[in-house]
Amino acid sequence: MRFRGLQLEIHPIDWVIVGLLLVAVVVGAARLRSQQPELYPLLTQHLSVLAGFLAFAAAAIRWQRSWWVIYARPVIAAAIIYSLYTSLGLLGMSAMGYRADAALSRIDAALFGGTDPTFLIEHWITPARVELFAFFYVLFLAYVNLSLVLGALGRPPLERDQFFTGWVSTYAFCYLGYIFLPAHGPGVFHAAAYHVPLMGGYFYQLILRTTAATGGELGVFPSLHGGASVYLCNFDLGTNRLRGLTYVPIVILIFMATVVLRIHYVIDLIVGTAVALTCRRIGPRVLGRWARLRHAEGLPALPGGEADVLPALSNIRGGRVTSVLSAY
Amino acid sequence: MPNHSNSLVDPLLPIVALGRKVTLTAKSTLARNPLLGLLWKGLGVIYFHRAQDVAKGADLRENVHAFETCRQSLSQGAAICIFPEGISHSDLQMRNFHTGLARIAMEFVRKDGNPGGLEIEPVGLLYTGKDRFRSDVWLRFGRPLDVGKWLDAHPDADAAALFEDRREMVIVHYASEIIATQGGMPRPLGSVEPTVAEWFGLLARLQQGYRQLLAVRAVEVEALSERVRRHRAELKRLGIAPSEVYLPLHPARAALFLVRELELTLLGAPLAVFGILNHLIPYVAVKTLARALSKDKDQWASNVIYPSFLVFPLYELLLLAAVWMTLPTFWAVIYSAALPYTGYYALLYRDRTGSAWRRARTFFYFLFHRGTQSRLADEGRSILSAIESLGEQLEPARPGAPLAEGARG
Repeated sequence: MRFRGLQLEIHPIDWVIVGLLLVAVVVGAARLRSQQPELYPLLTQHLSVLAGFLAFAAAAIRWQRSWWVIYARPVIAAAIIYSLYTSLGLLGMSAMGYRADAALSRIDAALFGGTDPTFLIEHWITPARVELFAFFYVLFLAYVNLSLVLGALGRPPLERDQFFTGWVSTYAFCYLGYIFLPAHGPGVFHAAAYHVPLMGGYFYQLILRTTAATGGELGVFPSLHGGASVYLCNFDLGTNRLRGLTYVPIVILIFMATVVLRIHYVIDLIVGTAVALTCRRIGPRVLGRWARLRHAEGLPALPGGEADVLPALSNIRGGRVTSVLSAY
Repeated sequence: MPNHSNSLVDPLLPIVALGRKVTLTAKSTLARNPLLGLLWKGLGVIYFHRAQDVAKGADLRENVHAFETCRQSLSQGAAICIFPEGISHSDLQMRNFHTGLARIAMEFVRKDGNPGGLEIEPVGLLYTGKDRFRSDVWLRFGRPLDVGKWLDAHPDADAAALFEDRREMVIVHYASEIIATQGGMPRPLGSVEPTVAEWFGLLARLQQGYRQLLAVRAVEVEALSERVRRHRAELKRLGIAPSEVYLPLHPARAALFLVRELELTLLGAPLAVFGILNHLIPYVAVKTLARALSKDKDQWASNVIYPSFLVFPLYELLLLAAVWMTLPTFWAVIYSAALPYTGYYALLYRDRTGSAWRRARTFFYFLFHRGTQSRLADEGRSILSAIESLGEQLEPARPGAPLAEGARG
């Protein structure tokens, strides 16, 4: 009974983030003895983030009828998700005594008739093409962040929370790959075997500088460039078709960029896409069910007391809000 | 048994919705069109000869044969689609039914023994804008009529009696637009719209309430209707949609609107331009043809859709052939994938930029005429409140119940 109460109080996004941080802490703690010098700061870092987030989650429950909760959750969730981008990659590299590169490369080779696809396109690489794809690789950041801002401010309340639940879940599941299947990517794994080095201009240098600043290629499986962009595009296709269609070619180019720039294996992209589509399907359903249960228990369906969304709750079909007209 | 308001588009809808073979019926004069005649021969259409078409070559004696063909099809378990009004039209209410459908049904029961148990299923077809590209349509199946049981209960009935009291009216009421605003902020452009079933559900409820109230409170209802008409006329004169009367003049919201629409306008422009340039010729050709052929609103969609089946694929095939002959394979593949995608994209883009432009124009109009906005908004909310107060009199047990509750199609 107490757990059920807690289940209704804690937002699905909070469950996902707490779960992910707990996994990180448990993995760090379990491997602490053998890898102590490297893992200790990481463990401390993740424990601190966990404690801080739990404090936020408690505050969000205490003041769940306040307006600020509506905006604080997406901002804090996005900040934590972004901060984990590097730290979980490092954790996987430090805690696990193996690298998944060889297996991922073998799968890629099997998919492409025996040769890793980055070798197949090697003859096609020119500095201009590298720079073009580097631009699209960087564009991903603009796409994600603009989508998050528009998602937080421009969507109806229920749709907004569904959007963020799926987005956070996509990242969380992909991060599990970073922890348990650490890999550097084809650019590092096959570095000595390439005949054509990658050379580009401003955007390519920007990628190199950013990667170096965040500790190098840490964690590539599954691809978040692939997964997150598919998630955003797919969500938009269901709720704002023109925006979704606008980004279809850009998402394809982002996919191609990760392979051309030797950052991801193709299998990373495939699994990232699968994770994104699963979270796109499940995330909104989970959130919808949670909101309905809260509504039935007399709580505000969504934190922040956005009662205007309540009539739509009976119309969540297939995870998509199909109607608000019944409120008229 | 559907109503008939959109010419040759109507018969396609029950076929798609039922997902089973449906034998179509049509007026005999359509068979004279060589292309349609060929298409409809393939579909096994049964032709009826109408009295008003005798001068155009219809032979009423042929109906005996047509009726028999219908009964044979029914004996084999087929579903037949007959438009009992016998004509496609743009009237706000249904026209009188011809007796052919009832005669076929009664003869099938009385003479053929009613194998399989014939049922007549009323089908309602309602379009949000049948003379527009990509209009929504609501297809609703009514309660089926078991002809055998009905004849048992009415052994002496004639064909005209079968459909008495089974006509439905279709009224598009301005009040529904005002109710749909909820007196609140308009929804963001591009967001998920209410389904067409919900829209028509609301209309049906309004229509029902309107009729009931007209009988008991005619003066109030007429006065309110006049206010609604005046309000709607003023909005139309100003070029403002009812949903945009309550547009918030808030700088942060305006900035968000600007970012969202500029993002799509700028990023989407290359795709839209590509789509427009590659489809302009067939688009204009079909539109010109439809304009020339359509004498009434109910013919517009048919005159767009049927030629489009031919014109667009042919044109795209020509383009693709030219591209594959002239461009390298890589670019030809890209072009082939982009062609249908950008064509569809261009249509959505045009709608969206048009809506964004209208909303921006309304924003600036209200910015410089704040008095007008508050007057229009007050009047809109006052009308809403008057409708709700009248509605409560219809449902005294459920004050505050949402107007469209239970409306499902």
